[in-house]
Amino acid sequence: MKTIKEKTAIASIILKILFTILKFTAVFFTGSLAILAEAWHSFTDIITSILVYISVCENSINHKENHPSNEKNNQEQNKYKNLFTRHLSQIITNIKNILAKINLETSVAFLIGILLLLVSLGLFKNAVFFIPSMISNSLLTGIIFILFAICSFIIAKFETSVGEKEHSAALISDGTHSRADTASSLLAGFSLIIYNMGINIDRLAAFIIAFFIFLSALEILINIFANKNKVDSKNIESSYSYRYRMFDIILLAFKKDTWMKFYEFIDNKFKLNLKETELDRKIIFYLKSILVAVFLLCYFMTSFFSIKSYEQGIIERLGKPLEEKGAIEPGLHCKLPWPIDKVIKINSKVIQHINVGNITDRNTSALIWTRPHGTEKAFLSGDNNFFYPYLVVHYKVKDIFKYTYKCKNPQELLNNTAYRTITNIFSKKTFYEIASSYRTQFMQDTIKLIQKELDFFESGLEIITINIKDVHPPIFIADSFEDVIAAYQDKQRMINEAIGYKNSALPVARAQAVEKIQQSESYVIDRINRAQGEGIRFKSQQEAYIMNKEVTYIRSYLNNMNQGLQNNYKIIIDPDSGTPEVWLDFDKKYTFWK
Amino acid sequence: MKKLAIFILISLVLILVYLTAFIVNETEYAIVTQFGKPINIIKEAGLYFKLPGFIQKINRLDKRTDILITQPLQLLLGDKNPIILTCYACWRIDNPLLFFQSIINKEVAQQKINDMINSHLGSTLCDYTIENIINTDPEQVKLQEIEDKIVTHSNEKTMKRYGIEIISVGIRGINYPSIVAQSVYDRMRAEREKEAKRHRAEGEEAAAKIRAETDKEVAQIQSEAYKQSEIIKGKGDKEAIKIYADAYGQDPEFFTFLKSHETLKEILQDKATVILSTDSELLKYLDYQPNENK
Repeated sequence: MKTIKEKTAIASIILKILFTILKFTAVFFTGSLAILAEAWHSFTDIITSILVYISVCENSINHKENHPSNEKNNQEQNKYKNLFTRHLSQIITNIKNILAKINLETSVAFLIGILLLLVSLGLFKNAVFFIPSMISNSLLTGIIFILFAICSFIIAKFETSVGEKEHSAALISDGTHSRADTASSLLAGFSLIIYNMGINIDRLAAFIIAFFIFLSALEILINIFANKNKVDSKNIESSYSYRYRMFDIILLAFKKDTWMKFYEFIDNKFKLNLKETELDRKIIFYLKSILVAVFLLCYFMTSFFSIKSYEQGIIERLGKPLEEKGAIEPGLHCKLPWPIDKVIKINSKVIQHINVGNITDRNTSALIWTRPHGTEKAFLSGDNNFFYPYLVVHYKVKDIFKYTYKCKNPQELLNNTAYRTITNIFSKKTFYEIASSYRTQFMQDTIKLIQKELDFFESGLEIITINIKDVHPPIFIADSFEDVIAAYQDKQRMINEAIGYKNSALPVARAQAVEKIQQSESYVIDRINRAQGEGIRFKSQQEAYIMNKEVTYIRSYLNNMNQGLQNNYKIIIDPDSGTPEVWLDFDKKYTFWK
Repeated sequence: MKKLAIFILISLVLILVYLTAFIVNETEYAIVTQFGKPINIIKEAGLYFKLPGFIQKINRLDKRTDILITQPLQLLLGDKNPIILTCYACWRIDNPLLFFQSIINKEVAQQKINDMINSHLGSTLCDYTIENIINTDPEQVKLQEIEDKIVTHSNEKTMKRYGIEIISVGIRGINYPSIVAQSVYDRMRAEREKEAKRHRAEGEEAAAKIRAETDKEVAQIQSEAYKQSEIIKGKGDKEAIKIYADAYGQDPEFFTFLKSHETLKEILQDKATVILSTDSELLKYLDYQPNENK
């Protein structure tokens, strides 16, 4: 046979179990931290509601006592314990009464307390460190949570009214607790709804709810130790009075009395002289208006947005871009509130870049052929050589409408087009062309080709430059490439040496030629002058000779003979004395003169 | 309680709107299905209504051009050369309903397109040689043609059967298998060494040529100078001889004996032993008595 109080308590337990299951299911649908915290919070509520149920049952047995807090009887304590054990032994039947009497209540409560403490700490940790993922189905779940809140509110009202009718402090307390639950459910629901509008307070909501759980856990643990002490000292109040001690501080905010006292205090202080009920109504009305106003303000804030200096924006009205308005330039702008208009912001004024081919390593001090300096992805040149180009494409968005609506991923398109274009161009050129002479032309050609392709796909991108940062042959054969350059230098050196020889030999030869000619000319002058001189001398001699030929002849003859024979050996022979015997001395000193 | 009722009513209306209204974005097609049966294909962006979630469902398909990169594929060319090619394809949904029925979603579509392109790549490249892919002669390179062929072949199937249009296919990477790559590296090194040797030999050749030319030029200059000097000397000699002849020709007899005497003097000056007869003109007067012999 159950009293109305018991029925109420059981109803609230069943409803709370239902809520808890629903809330844990919602966690899987949304992935919201606030909902996870809220689900655990509901779980703690089940425990408190069970405790309330126990105390209500116990109260109906000791129906003579008006209030459990007045009870100072040791017997009451024992009865309470027996009752608790009875309930527990319905679940765990094989445990002996005495054993259960001493340990079961405290140990189970202790375990639950520790569990809740761990849960709340875990939730704190999540709220602080966990990077929240996207929350899905947020609007629907948010609305459902607001419905939960309404249900909690109805339970609270119901419990309070029954509690007041039946004078059950436990039920009134639980009603207050349910009021607090309403608040946390509203908080979770509200955070989900405004998440849909682009404001994320999921973390904050989770944090607050985790704090609720933390308090519940502390309260359970403190109650256990307090009870134990009371049992020892045999000077106890009902354990029930401890049950809410920690939570009372928070629950004060949800009790009407607190607020009434607050109003009275204000009323006395400022001499407003309002009647209590009037004051109450007014205050509640203002509070409600403020809540509604805040909500409306939040809602209409969604119709203002700002575009930053490097951005442009597009307004989408019911999914359709307002193209006639064109791209929205930086500044503060209005639109219709969510969910009618949406804004897409795009970094259209920033020059962005992508690496094509290979990416150089930032830490490399110099880009040298023989040293690795980044990724190594080989390309093939037209003369069948592997080489490694490092290209950087600078681009920006030139048409944000095309950029947004024509291609799913314009950057990806640019990347692929760039790869294709350079592969195509490189497969027609030799390595040396790519590495040196063709570079400038290459930039112009590639920009033209890639831009053509990008425009064909209406990607809305514009290429600004393509920079060949570096091109190098495979690192382990780079030395042979450098040897070619060294050989080329050797060739130049040899040619230069030969030219040097040429430059020195020719002038010498020319100088000798000039000298020779000059010499011959001087010879000619010499000859002619001599001839002329000798000719004139002869003429003069002849003129003299004509005067007396005989004498001149004799004189000349004798003169010459004189000089000619002066130093010679002379053998003089007289023909009259017969044939002489002449012994010629063929001494070394003399040569026989024929 | 009345207020509460109004509040619940408003909430219910909001939930109903949430369940029935939906926005189709500019970037997508939407197909509304009723218990799985497609009943409405929406191609224009805007606000639309349907029956609540469990009766009618929306399936959204992206209408923008999408890109996929195929798996790198090793294949044999017409001349049995192995090569590794990586392609990409730009595609978009051409027929949303057909696409929705035959492909279901983008991931499946990408896999299907990948299969198809790699298959067409293999069959198309049989008709080409390595010369058509890598060549310094731009006329011979036929990458563009290969890409166009793959697009045409793929579209024959995809347009009618898959509801997909392949807009373009590009070859984004050409490479050799690793074993071939090693021999390419070796060849590159050999080529470079050859090149270096050629440069050095060319240097020697050019230098030798310059030296020889220089020597030749020097000889030419010197011989020319010799020739010139001989001509000049000859002219001078001729002049001198003329002058001598002029002068001596006036009295040859005198010249003869004068020169003879001078010559004799010169000849007899050194190292000669002279045997003289007392009958000779010179010694005639050695024992001369005037008028006795005559």
